[in-house]
Amino acid sequence: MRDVLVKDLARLLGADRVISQVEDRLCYSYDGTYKTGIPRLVVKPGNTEQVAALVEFAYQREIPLVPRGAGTGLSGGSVPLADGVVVSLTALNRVVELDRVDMLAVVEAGVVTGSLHKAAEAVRLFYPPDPASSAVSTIGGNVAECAGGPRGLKYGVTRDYVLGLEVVLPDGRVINTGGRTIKNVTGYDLTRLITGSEGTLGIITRAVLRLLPLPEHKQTILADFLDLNAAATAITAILAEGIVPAALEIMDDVTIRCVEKHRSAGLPLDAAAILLMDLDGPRETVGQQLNRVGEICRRHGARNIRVAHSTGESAELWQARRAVSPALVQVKPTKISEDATVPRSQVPAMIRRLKEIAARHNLDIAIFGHAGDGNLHPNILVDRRNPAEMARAENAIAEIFEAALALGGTLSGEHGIGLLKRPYLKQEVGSAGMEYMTRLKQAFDPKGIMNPGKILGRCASDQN
Amino acid sequence: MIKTKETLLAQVDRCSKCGACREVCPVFLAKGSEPYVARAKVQLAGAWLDGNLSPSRRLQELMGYCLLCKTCTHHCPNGVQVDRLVLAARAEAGPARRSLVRLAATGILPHPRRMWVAHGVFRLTQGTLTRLRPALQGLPQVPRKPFTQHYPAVLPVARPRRRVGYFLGCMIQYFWHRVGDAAIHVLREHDGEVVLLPGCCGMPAAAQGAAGIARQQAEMVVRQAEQARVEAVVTTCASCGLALAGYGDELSTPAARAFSQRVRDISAFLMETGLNRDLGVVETVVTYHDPCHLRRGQGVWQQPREILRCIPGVDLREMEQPDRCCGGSGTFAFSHPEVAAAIGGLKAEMAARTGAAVVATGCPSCQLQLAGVLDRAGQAVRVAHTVEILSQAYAARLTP
Ligand SMILES: Cc1cc2nc3c(=O)[nH]c(=O)nc-3n(C[C@H](O)[C@H](O)[C@H](O)COP(=O)(O)OP(=O)(O)OC[C@H]3O[C@@H](n4cnc5c(N)ncnc54)[C@H](O)[C@@H]3O)c2cc1C
Ligand code: SF4
Ligand code: SF4
Repeated sequence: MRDVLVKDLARLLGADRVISQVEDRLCYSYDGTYKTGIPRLVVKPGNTEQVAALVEFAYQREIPLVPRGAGTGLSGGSVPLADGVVVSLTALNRVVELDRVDMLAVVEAGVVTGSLHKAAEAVRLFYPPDPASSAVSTIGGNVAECAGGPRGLKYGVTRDYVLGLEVVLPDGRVINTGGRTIKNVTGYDLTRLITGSEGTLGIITRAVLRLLPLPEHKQTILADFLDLNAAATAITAILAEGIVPAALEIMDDVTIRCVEKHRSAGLPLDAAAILLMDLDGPRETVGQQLNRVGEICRRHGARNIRVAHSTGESAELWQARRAVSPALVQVKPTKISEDATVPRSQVPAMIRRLKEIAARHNLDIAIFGHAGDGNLHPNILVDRRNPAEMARAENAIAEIFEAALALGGTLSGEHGIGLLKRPYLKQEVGSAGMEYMTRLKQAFDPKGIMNPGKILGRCASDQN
Repeated sequence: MIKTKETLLAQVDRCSKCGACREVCPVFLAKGSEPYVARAKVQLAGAWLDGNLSPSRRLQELMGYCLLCKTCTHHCPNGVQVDRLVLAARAEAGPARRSLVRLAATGILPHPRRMWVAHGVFRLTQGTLTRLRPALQGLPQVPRKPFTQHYPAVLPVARPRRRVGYFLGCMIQYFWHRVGDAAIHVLREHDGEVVLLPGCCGMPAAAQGAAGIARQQAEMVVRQAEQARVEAVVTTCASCGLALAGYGDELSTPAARAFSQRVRDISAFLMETGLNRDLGVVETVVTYHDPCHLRRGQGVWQQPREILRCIPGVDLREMEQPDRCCGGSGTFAFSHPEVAAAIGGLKAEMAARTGAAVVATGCPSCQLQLAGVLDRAGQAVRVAHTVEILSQAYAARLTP
């Protein structure tokens, strides 16, 4: 059965674009989560026409397809369920156009986010969305997940930069949504619908992305607080004075101690929270704002404030943030990274609830993340080989979601629903919401071949 | 074996599958597909160790696509030692592949007599072979006799300050005599009584998955050094140095531990014991390439630069990504010529862009690869070991 399929696909795309050996397929069985599933086959189309031909073929034979970028997703979106054929889009990797007058970029789906950053910066332009994975993640994956990042507070997330998309629909037809203008209200906004659809409505092959002028200057400041509420009120005060930091990251005491124990980055062990901020803009303004931010933090009880005076020093301060991940694996090998998000005002309340949940289930939970936009990343530290601990983690996750919803927040700020959060979706969107989402999915994908089992529904072969 | 399996699985479990290695793994960047990246090797090794994937030819093939360059480990937020997993998988997980490269690494290099015969054959056919295997292009004209036949076993100096073992390794013994000559000259400039230590470090065999042969080599080298009663064992080959420094952990005997502690790359040895700064002028522009097994393998990267900066007339200009692997990786360039050429081509470009006349480095394997790729890129840039330039500087002082 597989052999016939291999032959047909090889005829369609070329033999070197079809991967069938189990060892190779295993390398497309995972993403950044602990979920796995070995695909039936992997195909690597080289252009939009090939993607369209492939999808049409799959539509006729009802073969489930799983779009895949770099496989860094954190909700299991590109992990195939049984019988899925993975469509790897990394061969579509051209930056087609960088338009300095219209200030936009046209890129293929497989372009690595970081290379777009570099290409734009080389002509003094700026593509703000900056998921921490940007050095390897793809634009297709970013659009499909509506990726955010530290810059979300000031600059928004991926959807705020997508002007238009080229999409291969589940029956193989190609459409172009949106266009090259900032303003566009012609018909339903399919661009926004596809953005964040996690590969369940179609395969993105190209994106028109809005760019901004590159800010002239950027500087970093780090402040530590002995009290979590003090840090939170400092954040509110900074924003109330009209200063919007380009990044505003928080680390809690558990995280700080992990980092210090295992990586020593010179962080104060008795601090309850650390705030790490970037300010960007014209050089003069940044300098003035930096002073004011320092003052506000001090007024709200910050103990130590460190300001970076050069790019090198900025990197040093950010080093503490980067040291988090390596430090956490020293504690336990498996990290379950959640991204429940709450309104900014509820950040301290959410942190308190997370700590209660950790204590109740006897788990280590390190909390850090984008405090400015309420997108916290509680990381549950476990050992995937310890079933009892994994079960406790499952329960904790359910409670984390409950807490986020109770505080007026959402299940996921930027990682998406995928496989991992599917069971909780209804809690947030309600029965009517579920019904309309399901109908939407059916309208787009009547045969259910496009990344089945993700976000919505269950499919018969769902074994993961 | 159970113990090793546990330690290997611990490495697998450390991998969070974040994909960060996709930014840096040179083989992945050349091939462009997930199965060639570090993350994939870790997951494949994990599936094999957990018994979910049986050893196969394809598994061996994929494990073969690794330079053992440690770039991934260095960049990995969790410090996963991918090269260890790759070596373990090569050693245990598969039917032995028969290939000329494997035969050379496991059946010839470890045996001086066979090596002597092979060396003779090689010398006579070097021209033809080089046409067939472009990876050999950077090799100097192969000398008639092994290095040890040009020198007495112990080289005395007038006022010896220390007795130093110079571990030659296959590359110096059979091919790169000019590096060996320079090293001896430099060591004697530091009043070192030099004892030559021939032998193979075992790295080529280990890289081919022949862990048993590598162990035997290690035991032999340790014994030989013990008999020579030297204070330090100095190397001019980054890979030999890394292998020797690892014997302690590998063999876990007190003798091996004591041995490994005495191993130094020559640049580190010179800086540690005090560089003789009575140097003549060498007027040239130099750029330095970091061998993977020196910088990431032994943490040595400042010392060679310091040495070069000490030499009057040397203008050291850093290239972009000086620590990016050159793609040579010992036998890799022979078993995977196309990937090695692609990786090397990038390196040649980066080196040439500095305008340097000489690329200095600390490993004959890199020298071989760099000379070849620079030549193919049409760049008239010379490649030299750091000690060759240093030796030149001492010689320049003597001739007015
Ligand atoms: C260390 C680390 C840090 C991270 N930091 C952040 C962060 O700061 N912010 C953030 O938002 N995320 C973050 N992520 C999550 C992840 O990197 C993002 O979700 C990213 O957008 C995924 O891109 P990818 O190319 O790896 O996509 P994949 O993981 O391959 O796929 C993700 C989803 O998109 C779909 N998809 C991929 N390509 C296409 C396409 N062309 N058309 C249609 N569907 C497609 C897949 O089916 C899947 O559902 C992080 C992940 C890691 C491992
Ligand atoms: S960088 Fe390290 S942890 Fe991340 S995928 Fe690669 S090997 Fe695994
Ligand atoms: S050691 Fe080098 S070649 Fe091997 S996986 Fe790591 S980065 Fe890639």
